[in-house]
Amino acid sequence: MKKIVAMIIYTCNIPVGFLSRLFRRNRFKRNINKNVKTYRCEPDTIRFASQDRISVTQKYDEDADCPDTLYPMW
Amino acid sequence: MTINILGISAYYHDSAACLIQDGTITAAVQEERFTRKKGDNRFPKNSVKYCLNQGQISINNLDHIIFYDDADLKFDRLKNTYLAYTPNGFESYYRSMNAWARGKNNITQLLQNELISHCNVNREKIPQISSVQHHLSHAASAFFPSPYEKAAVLCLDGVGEWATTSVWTGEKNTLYPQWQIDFPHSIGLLYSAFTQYIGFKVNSGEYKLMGLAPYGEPKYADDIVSKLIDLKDDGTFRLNMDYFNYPVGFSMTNTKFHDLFGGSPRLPESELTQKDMDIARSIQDVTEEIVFRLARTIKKETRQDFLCIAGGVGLNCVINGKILREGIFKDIWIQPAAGDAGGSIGAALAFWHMALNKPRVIRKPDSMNGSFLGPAFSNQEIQTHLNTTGAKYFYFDDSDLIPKVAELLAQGYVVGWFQGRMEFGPRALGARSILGDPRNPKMQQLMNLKIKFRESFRPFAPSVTADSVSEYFNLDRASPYMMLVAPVKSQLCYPMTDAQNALFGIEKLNIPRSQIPAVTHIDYSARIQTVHMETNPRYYQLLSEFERITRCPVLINTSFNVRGEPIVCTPEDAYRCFMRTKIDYLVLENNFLAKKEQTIRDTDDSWKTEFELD
Repeated sequence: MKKIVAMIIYTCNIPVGFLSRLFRRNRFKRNINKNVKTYRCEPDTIRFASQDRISVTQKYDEDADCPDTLYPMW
Repeated sequence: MTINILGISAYYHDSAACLIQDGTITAAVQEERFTRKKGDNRFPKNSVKYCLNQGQISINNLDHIIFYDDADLKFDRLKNTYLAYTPNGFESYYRSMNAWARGKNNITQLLQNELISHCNVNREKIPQISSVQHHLSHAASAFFPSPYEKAAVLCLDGVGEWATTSVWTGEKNTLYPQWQIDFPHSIGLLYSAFTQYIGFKVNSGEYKLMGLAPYGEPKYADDIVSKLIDLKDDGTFRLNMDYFNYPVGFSMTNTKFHDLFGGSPRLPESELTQKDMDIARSIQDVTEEIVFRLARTIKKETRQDFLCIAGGVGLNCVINGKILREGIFKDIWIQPAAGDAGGSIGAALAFWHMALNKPRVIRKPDSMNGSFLGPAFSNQEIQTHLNTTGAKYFYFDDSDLIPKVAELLAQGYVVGWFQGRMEFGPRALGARSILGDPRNPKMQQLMNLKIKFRESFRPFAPSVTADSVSEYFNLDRASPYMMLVAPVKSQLCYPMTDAQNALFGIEKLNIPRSQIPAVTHIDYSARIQTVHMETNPRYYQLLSEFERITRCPVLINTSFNVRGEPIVCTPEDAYRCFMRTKIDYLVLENNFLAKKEQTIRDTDDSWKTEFELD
């Protein structure tokens, strides 16, 4: 039963996955790009997640060439 | 009032716990040492109990519990991965979501439940549980215990949440993230993919691949660079995911990968071929090139003099040694538990310094206490156990014991050496070690096949007194955690003849290549541990005594275990391992046991299947 429910949920993902690929929002399929100089990405925001959700500090490197900063939009 | 922080890493691989008291690391231990299950990933209940006991506190006295991974962010990665690969990967999705539904989605509650069931505590008495991102845990484990006031930090591993490679700068009590490379593009997973292809286990066999590399030629390096990875000048990279199966599959590689390297993966335990060795060498060379480029970029951008390294790739001591010799940084410091176990220390220290804003006290040589952070056993506790088992032993003071052991080592005997607090991290550093004479050309084979029951190609590491390291190796500084590989001094090496060079890979190892052949790998390198009087006085004295007898301050030091077994933790574990192998003598603190005097013999060989082969 559990497996059937999981399969239904997973099936629902299929069109979303296809659409994301269609609109190139799929970071996994944006593979090699010979035209960029670097593959570096913006760092994740530092947080100390807890029951109180304290966000302590963060620092972004504004100048970084970051082809992956567009996290999936869905 | 002391502030007590418990750091926990769990639920992926290599669970561990550590206790930080007012910013000082009081205790740290991997769960596998207690459960005897290598790489145990379950909640580290025994480790938590040990840490609390060592700190002489109960769970009620803890102020914070810090988990080494951000579950929300990791779930985000999983969700996006499955979306990206749909409709493939259902089976993997189902299993993964099952695990998350069973509690990983609410790590706070999961940890609370574990603590309630294992530590006999009420929910309301459990302190605040927080989590720290995986790579921040790694970065903190590398920078905060290091001896540097400021440094660049490089973390390289398989994957935590999104980051697989991350660059930081550390200054005073803060780490500043610079940039990262995200999943699925991962140098750790690339190395693991080859580990699996060569027939070793992912997350444990990577060091075997590293040890196999010198037997081969980098014949496949061009294929790797041209087809599997796009490596930029700054060291950043992307993998060509058409060749990999790991995002949603149960294997690391796919048929396209296998076709590229001319066949299916090697079956575990089958014979190693020259091709396997060439592949190992190729991926090792490519990995080195990636890390060199990253290191040069980091130096150029951060202008820091020092580099700290953590993450599983940091355990690749061949790369570490080469970075040092390249002279990109004045010095480097590698967290001795660079893998996920060390994340427990990093998570707790990150919280202490960055969330609680506590200043950092820099200690020399570092704040890891020689990595001797695990349990110790008194002579009395050991004797109680030995009496129970009926073992025959003698008690000697150090003044008698150490010369006796040194003499036996010089005569070619193998000694199990158990003393002091157990090491934290994957390396035995002279607290839970098997020792031998490195001058003996037969010792490498003997120890591999009759004591460790492991593959004959694997090299052994030397321990050397810190003051003599540069007499034997091309290394001019300390390497207390066996994290650096360096060449053996050329004047101690024997050149190979043409006939010897023509031998097939592993046969070459049987040819003595230096005055310390048992610890000289076939490329004349050695994975060095420097031993220091300040952090390991008894082992230092043993080496000094061995030098007095033999004029050689070097010993073979291999971990006290057999293949697939976690390093021994207790006197019971050590005695059991001693009795099951060809170790000649056992030293348990000041208690001395000779194999020939023991009457209880384990004639049943079925124990050899007790530990799953790694």
